[in-house]
Amino acid sequence: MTNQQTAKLILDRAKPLFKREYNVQYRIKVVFDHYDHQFNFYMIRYKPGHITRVTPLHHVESTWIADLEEILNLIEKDLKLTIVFAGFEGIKWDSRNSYIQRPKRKVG
Amino acid sequence: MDYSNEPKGVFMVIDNKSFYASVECVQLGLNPLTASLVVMSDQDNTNGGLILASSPTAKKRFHITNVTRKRDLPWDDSLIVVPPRMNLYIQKNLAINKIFHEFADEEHCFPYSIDETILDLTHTWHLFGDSPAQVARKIQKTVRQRLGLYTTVGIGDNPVQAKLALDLFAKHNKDLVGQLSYDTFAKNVWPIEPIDKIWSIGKHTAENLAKLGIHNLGELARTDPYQLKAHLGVMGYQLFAIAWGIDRAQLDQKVPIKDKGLSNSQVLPRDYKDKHELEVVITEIAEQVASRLRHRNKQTSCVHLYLGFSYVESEGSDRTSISHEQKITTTSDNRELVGAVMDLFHKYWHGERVRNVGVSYTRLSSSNAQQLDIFDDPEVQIKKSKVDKVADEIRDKFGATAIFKGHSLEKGGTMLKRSGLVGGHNGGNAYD
Repeated sequence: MTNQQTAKLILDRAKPLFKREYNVQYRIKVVFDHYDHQFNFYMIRYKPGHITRVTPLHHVESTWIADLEEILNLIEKDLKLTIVFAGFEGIKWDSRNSYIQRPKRKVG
Repeated sequence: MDYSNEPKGVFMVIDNKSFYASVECVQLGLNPLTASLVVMSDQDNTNGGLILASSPTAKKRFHITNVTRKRDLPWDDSLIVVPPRMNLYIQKNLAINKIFHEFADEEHCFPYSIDETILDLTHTWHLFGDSPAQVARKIQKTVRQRLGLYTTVGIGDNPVQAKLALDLFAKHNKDLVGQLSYDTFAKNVWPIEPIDKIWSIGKHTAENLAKLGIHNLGELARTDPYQLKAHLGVMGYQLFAIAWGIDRAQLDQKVPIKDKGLSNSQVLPRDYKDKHELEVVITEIAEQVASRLRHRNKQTSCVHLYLGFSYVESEGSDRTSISHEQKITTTSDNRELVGAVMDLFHKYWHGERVRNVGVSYTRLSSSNAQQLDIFDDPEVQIKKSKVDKVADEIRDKFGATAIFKGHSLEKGGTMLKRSGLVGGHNGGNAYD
């Protein structure tokens, strides 16, 4: 599956979930799954005082940040939601010299 | 007690801590022990939503148990709810068992359920550590490192001790390991109350035991086994053996199955009281089981129908369900089987509201040959059986919904909605 197809699939699944409800925050979550060596994509529906619903959208069997960057750029063109990350501590974007997530602070 | 003649080995029962919830936590990049997460099935028949699993922290913070309903969930945004992905859990279970095979060969590794496995390490444990407890730690660490999941381990001299060590001690110990042996069994297990905490003793058995003045395993162990047999039947002997920590099961010896059968059952999304709706859903199930029968090249000569009544119907009434079977001429033909099941339905159903439906076929025989009816045209009979076969082949190739009967579109049909489910819950294909 190409990155374009992946982005389209994720958008097709995410758009029906983005219902623009009042007082609800929608986010896309990307997880670097180090156990399965893949990126997992989720849609989060957060409403203060209610249970937080998380719906799996897709997983990409790749650990290339360049792939992820392209997919996310394509998604952001069509669906402007905040993207949150997990499992990317200390990893930098491929195209720029900035961290996706800052490295974990060493204790002690 | 002299245990010298009892079988003694090193057995471990390994359980995945809050399995479904832990798998989802790992996929979400969360720690399974600290995240508050529940897996909730949103199917039509779950009354708005049914909790399949909850993480240890969710259990502790919100007192959520499995089979809690959605309406009982707390209004709290720190609680994460995800839909189930049954296929993913099956994959993870296979991956875990693959790790276990590094410690015990396949002949000594017995999956007990989707999240529990029994390992017979009698001959291999010393290859991996100085004590069984050390090996248990090693297995736990390997699973955690490779899959991110936490496991609890019960260790015993035989399978039942390992299972009780898991249920009663490992889950509460900090290192998630519990150990029992012939020497420590009585001291640790006998005083435990209530007695229904013990594996294989449910509420009903506990009530029966209480009538005999038995409230813990110690009292059970000191009861005359013949008295137990007289009150509880053959289970009395089994409970007596458990009370002394004795298990003579040879896990590697296959138990011959006397009468294998095939069955399917489901909980309906609402109470059904309309005759036609019930006919539709029973036909669907009868055809589904018939298709599985043909897949295995089997024929049946006995059909069985189960109808469980709705809560309202069974309240204050003696009859809570009907369950009847009927012998038929050996067949695997859709029409004949559906006809026989329908006969049972029409004979025994008297307008009750129904919530559970089950159909099973027993007395199976292999179907190398087709039994023709002397009173019917043989060519027509052969043609009919070919139609069933072709329909089965189309479903194999293009999926369960590639070809289906028109009645599945009528009110009452559940087949189309359930076709993507695994064990009645979302398989995960719809999302991922």
